[in-house]
Amino acid sequence: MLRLSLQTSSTASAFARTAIGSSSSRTVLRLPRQPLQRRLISVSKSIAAANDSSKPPVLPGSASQTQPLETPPGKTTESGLSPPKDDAPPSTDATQVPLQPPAPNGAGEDALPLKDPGLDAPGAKSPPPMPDAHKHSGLSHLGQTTAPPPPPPPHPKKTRRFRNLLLGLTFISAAAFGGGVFYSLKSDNVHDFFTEYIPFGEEAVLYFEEREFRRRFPNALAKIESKEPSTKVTIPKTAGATWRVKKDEPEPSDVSTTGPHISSKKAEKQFEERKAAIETVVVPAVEKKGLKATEVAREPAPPSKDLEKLDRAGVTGAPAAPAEPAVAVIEQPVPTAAPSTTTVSTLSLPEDTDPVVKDLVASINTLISSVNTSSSPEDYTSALESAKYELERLNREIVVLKGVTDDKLRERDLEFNKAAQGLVNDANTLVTQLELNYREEFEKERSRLAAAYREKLDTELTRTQELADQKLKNELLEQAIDLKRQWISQIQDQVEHERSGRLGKLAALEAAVRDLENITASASTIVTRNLKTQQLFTALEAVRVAAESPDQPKPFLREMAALKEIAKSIADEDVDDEDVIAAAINSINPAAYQAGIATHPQLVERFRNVAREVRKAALLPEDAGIAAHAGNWLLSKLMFRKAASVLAGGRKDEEGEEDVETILARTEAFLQEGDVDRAAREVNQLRGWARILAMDWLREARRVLEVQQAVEVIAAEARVQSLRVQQE
Amino acid sequence: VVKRPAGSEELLNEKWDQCLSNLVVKAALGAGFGIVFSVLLFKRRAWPATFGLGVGAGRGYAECDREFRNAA
Repeated sequence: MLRLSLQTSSTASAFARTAIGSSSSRTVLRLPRQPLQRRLISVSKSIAAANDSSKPPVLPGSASQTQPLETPPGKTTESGLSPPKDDAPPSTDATQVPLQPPAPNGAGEDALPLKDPGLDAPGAKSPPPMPDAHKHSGLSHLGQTTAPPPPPPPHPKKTRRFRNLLLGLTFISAAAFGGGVFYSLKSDNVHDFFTEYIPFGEEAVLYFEEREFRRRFPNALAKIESKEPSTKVTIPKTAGATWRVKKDEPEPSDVSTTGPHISSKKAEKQFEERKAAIETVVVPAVEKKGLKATEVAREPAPPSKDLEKLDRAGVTGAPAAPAEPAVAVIEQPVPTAAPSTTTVSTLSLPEDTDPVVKDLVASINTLISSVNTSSSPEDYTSALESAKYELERLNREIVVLKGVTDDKLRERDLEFNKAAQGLVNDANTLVTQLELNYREEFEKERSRLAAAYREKLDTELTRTQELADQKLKNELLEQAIDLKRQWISQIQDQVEHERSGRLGKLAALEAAVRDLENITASASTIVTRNLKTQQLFTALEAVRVAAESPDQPKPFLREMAALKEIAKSIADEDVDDEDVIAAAINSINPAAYQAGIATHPQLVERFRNVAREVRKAALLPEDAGIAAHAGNWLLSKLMFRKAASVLAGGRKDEEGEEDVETILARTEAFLQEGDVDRAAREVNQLRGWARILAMDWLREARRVLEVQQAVEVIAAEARVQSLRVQQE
Repeated sequence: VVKRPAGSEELLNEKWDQCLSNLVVKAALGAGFGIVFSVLLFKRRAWPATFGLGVGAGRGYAECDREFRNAA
């Protein structure tokens, strides 16, 4: 157990050491020496006691301060409170704390500025070294000069305050700007403010916003930028006005072509006919050409060519025929003109020869004649004979051909005629048909029109008939009415004439009755008015009696009500009277007749009381406190009173005295005379506290006056009424 | 007998009545408190009682003053 205690004591000592070491270093300045010293002493004592095996263990601090201390002599060395105190001499007594180690220079104790020089403690050495010990623990390594020079005054540093200030401001503003941009992205209000008031704020915010947008919608911009304007309007080059003149209208249809406007025959047939006509024209031209060719060439070959041409032409028209006789006529003189000699005989052909051949014959004849006339016709006779022979043959062939063609022509002609006839018949039938149709329609239309007109005529007739009937009826009615009127008037005249006398009498009677009515009415009005006046008088008397009855306060409500009723009943006839009476009644304070009014003696009596009270407050200003009131009360006991009889006679004081006493005296005088009105006026002149005190009396007096006045007015009105009635 | 309501002329008298009674009551109260305190706290000296009386009287006076002023 002792071991344990030792251990505990050692731990306790360690603990105490640390505790004290830490606490005392902190508190060394503040606490006075003595308590600390005492504490240390007690701790050391307890530790010593603990280390002392002969003594029972004692907790530190439990030992009493006044009890004798038991300190083992040689144990204090172990209780070194701080490590460097190992040099403490063992000969210290219990009250001493281990001394400080000797200072290196021997003057360390004087140098430390934290020393408290003026403290006396048991053991001159101990207090100074005690705190110094702790200090030495920290400062022992320092050079302890006797008088360490004060730290050199700080040399003036290069103040970089301006630069620091600028830097700081820049940073702060940059930070604020960044913060503003950030918050403006978040909040709308901040955004508005920022973009509006801060320069470059909008740009910064926009930059960030665009970045954000692009991050979110990377494709959107591509779409926007690549969008082509699709609403372009393209106008072709050739549109619009040009200098070119519009082309003329297409040429009108050719009227000369075949068509229904020329003839009613079908177009193909027309065409063929035309063609035939043209070719007949062509053929003579061709024949003429052929003739010219043979004339020029004078060879048999050309006639074959002519024949060919004729074949090609195909058809010879009818006009060929009429030309023949003319040619034949021409030809005839020619053959006869050629004289026939031994040489050559002229050629003569039958009459039905082609005119061209005839021309040839003629020419050959001339040739023959010329040959005959020439010197040696025998040379040419063979040739000429052959020519003649050929020509005759040709002629014969031509005749044959002609016949054939003529036959053919005739056939064709017949055909065509038939067709034409058929067409014509068709056309005729069509035409007749159309004509029939038109005629039918025409007939129909006519009949219809006729029917319509007939109808119209009928309706017109009927209408006019009706109108005429109506008119007749109206006229008849009018006549009837006229007749009736005439008749009635006649009757009336008759009747009146009959009764003329009686009607006149009736009228007179009526007049008389009316007069009587008027008289009675007026009489009745007079009577009612009389009644009402009487009632008014009685009511008034009742009110007066009630108001002035000695046993006040007596409410005279019923009498006033009666008065009002009478006034209303009067109002049915005369509005003016009602106004006056009503006004008079209304002028009275309702409290008056509800509570009754005071009689004159009562007023006087009350006034005396009021006067007494008022004197108590005679000298008071408006806002008087208790002291003033008390003073006044006292003084009022000493003041004189003015006699009422002095001012009797109703002499109005022109000087305007407002002395309370005067007013009171005057009021008394008036009251004694019976003039409540003037008394009330006098009391009205009081001011301040006096007025407050007299207020009730004043009110009462006023009521009395009001009632009196109203009663007098109504009495006057009643008198007027009675006079009026008498007048009527 | 129905008592008629006192007219305005009795105002002062009523006020005085109230005031004086109030004053007396308050002064007595103050004195009472003073006596109590003097017995309890101040070793039975005289001055708390008089002090209390004075306080009470002052209160009463002030109230009275206010009343008189307000009525005006």
